[in-house]
Amino acid sequence: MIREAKATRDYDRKRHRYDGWLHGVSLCAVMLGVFFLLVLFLIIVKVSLPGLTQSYFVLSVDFSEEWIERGDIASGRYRKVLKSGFSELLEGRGSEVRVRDFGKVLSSRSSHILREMVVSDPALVGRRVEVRLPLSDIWDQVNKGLLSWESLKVHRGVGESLQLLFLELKDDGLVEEHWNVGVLFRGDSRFPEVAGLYGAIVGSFYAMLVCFLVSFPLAIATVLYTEELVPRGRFRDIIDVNINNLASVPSVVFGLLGLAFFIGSLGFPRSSPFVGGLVLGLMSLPTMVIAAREAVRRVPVSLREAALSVGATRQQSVFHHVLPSAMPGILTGTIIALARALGEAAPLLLIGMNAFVSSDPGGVMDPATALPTQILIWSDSPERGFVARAGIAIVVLIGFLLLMNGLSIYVRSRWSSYDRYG
Amino acid sequence: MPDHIVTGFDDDLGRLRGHVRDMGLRVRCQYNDAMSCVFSWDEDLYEKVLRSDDEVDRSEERVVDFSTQILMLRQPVSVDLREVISALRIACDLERMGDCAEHMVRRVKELPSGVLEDGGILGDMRDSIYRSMLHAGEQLEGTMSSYERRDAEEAIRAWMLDDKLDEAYALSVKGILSSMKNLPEHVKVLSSMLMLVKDVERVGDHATNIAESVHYMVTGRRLKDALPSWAGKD
Amino acid sequence: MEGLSRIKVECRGVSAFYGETQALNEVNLSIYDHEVMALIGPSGCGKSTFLRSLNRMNDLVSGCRIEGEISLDGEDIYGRGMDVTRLRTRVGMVFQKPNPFSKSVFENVAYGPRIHGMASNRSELEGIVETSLRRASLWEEVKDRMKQPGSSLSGGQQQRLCIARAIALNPEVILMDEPCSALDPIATARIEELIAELRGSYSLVVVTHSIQQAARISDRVAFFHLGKLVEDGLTGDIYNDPKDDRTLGYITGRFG
Repeated sequence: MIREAKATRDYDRKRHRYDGWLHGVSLCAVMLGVFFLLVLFLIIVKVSLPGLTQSYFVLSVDFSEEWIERGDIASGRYRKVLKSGFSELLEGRGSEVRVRDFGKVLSSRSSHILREMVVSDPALVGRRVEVRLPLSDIWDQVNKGLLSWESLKVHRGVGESLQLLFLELKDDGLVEEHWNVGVLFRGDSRFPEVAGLYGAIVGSFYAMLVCFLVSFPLAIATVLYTEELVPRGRFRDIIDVNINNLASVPSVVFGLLGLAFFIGSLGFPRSSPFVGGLVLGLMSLPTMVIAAREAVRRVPVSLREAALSVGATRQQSVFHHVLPSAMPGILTGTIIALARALGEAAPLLLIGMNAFVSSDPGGVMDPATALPTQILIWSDSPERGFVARAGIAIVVLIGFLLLMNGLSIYVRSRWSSYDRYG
Repeated sequence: MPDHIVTGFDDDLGRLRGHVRDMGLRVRCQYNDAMSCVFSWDEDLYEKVLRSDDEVDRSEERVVDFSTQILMLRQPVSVDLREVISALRIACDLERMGDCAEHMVRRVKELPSGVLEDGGILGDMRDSIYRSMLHAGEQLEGTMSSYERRDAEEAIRAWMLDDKLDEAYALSVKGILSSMKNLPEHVKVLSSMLMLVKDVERVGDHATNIAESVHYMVTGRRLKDALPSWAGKD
Repeated sequence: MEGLSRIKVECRGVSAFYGETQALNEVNLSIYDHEVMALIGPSGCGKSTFLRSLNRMNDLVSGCRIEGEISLDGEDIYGRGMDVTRLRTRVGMVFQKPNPFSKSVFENVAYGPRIHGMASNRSELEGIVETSLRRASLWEEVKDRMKQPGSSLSGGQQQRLCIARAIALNPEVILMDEPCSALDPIATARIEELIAELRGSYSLVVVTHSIQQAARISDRVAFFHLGKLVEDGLTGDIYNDPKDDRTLGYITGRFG
């Protein structure tokens, strides 16, 4: 008996040790995952930080009627306004720096910015105003201390006098840093200092809208067909397996489909969010069908029986009872599929939603970019400012993803107070 | 009938039958001893009869308690339910029979000796009184045997023995009553004998009840409704 | 007594097949108006299959075939002209595990009448709901909780809600498939009491595993074994003195 007791104790000890080991290993795995996530997070944050702010120069300009006609504001000679502003400044300081060289400090889009200002507020004509104009990319980097004066001198041939002037202006408080709101509200541009995600956000929005309108009804209809109309058996199993396989098809393939069929055969406009939405919709469809199918299958037979026992037709039992009961699961699956589609770049690249588009897309058929493709474009660009801005775009995209996932959790919890089966 | 799925049920029913059988045995002993006492007085036998009454009472309590337990635990239906109900009724009848036997020996004790001897006060009634006691005893034997063998036909036969008992009893009563008229000075003794004979008749009555209970237990129908055509109703 | 009650449902030669397996074999049984008929028998004897064929719930099971004739008030329920959804309003069903809809208490009871157009306006519908809940002995307990989900009620209350849901359609027959097996003794007692009350207005057919319950609640009992109807008759007769040995063996717990 004593021997038995000891053997049992040894066995128990081994079992507990194994438990402990298992516990430790899984904890390590989780911590490893968390570690990598943190690293990723920190890198993104570090890269995006510079993009959070934009340096501006406070310039005094005269919107003189000499250059701007009141009747035709848009065709005013804003470059002249700008140049005269520079001259005034330089002469006022008695600097040797030439106007043309000084002009490089500010963004090349400055004259356009001035135009925008006057167009939106025509009362400015004939007035002298202090405007804030963004510094060009290089000088923005310099101001933030990310580019050395050495580098400026050697690689960009910036003379000492300009350097000194800049420092002087800075000391006088004419160089300001503001929150980079423009990155959300301005369209894309060759110049990072005035580049924004607005066009990409709109493009993504339209694409997601089309994607949802295409995939959701199709997914519901598919599930209704396979679950209600097809009897259990080999045929249904074949359908199930095929849908599962479709869900693992690489997204690039859908892009090719879009290019060849929607754009090539059907002639839909290239780079449009409409085609992008169609492609993303088809790509999301298998995932949605799988989620919806599981949700519908989890509805217990007893619910259907209950509906039928009060004389509901099959159709009534499906639409009044089965679908509403499965809806939380269906919606969750839908939102997750859509969140994934939001971040897909490959298919959108293939159908051309990476075109450089500086004007905002007007409708679903106009060429546009999307958030993931915009990130790629910016990451590819040589200008330093785009590096930080690409990071910000990534943060914006992740923000939308978190929002959508949060929405799916909310939907789940709100509906499951009504759906108690378990 | 196959056994119950729950063997405890069969065990319980077996024990219940055992208790009833035991009780029946005791009462038969008691009655036989009482009958002996009437015809050849024995002081020891008298004491024995009185003692066994206590044991018979305890037997009845056991039967009642056990039956209640079976009803509560097993919730019997049909044959099983009839078995339990019948056990209760038979125990009740047996207990009364025991009481009758006790009364009988108490009366005999009070009697002067030689009442039933040849030439005694009731010497000529000896035969019929003996016969009535015999028949009552046979009835008791018969019904308890039908219980043990669960034989409805035997129960009917035991039931019909009542006729013979009635005959002997009527004869005895008639004889005693006429003796009362002729020998008024012995009226006390004769009344005692009348009571004794009445007790015997009661024993037969209870035996009849037991036969009816046995028949109901086995067949589910009343004995009187099931009498075969060759048996008279009264 | 038999002469006074009308026959509500008449079954003649009813056989049921699941594919090749035969579940019911030539069952002949009559169900009388305003009476409770209990169906008893060991597991797999076909009593549930029989119950479900009375309101054609077996249609849901693919491969299930019913032969023979089942008539409700003389009309063959498997006949060509019979509308299944109409049939199910005349023959209601309560299941073993309470299965209220994932809707409010009110909606649970109102759904049936609504889809069959039994009420022409809201107040009529409310009236039907209240009457049904009262008849199911549930009104007092839920009248202040009409908007709460049906699933928030206790097990016994849910089952009474399912009964109210069936009653709301004004059925003629109510089928119950082991209605108390998922409930505690007190809830069970209340359902048994309810069955006794309902007898006055409907015909009830109740499948039960409890031999004692069948004896308590029913006027008639039908004993099924291996797909056949072995014996049926008045409850008192069957329980006192069954004609068939198998019946006796089952009710006394001797089955072998």
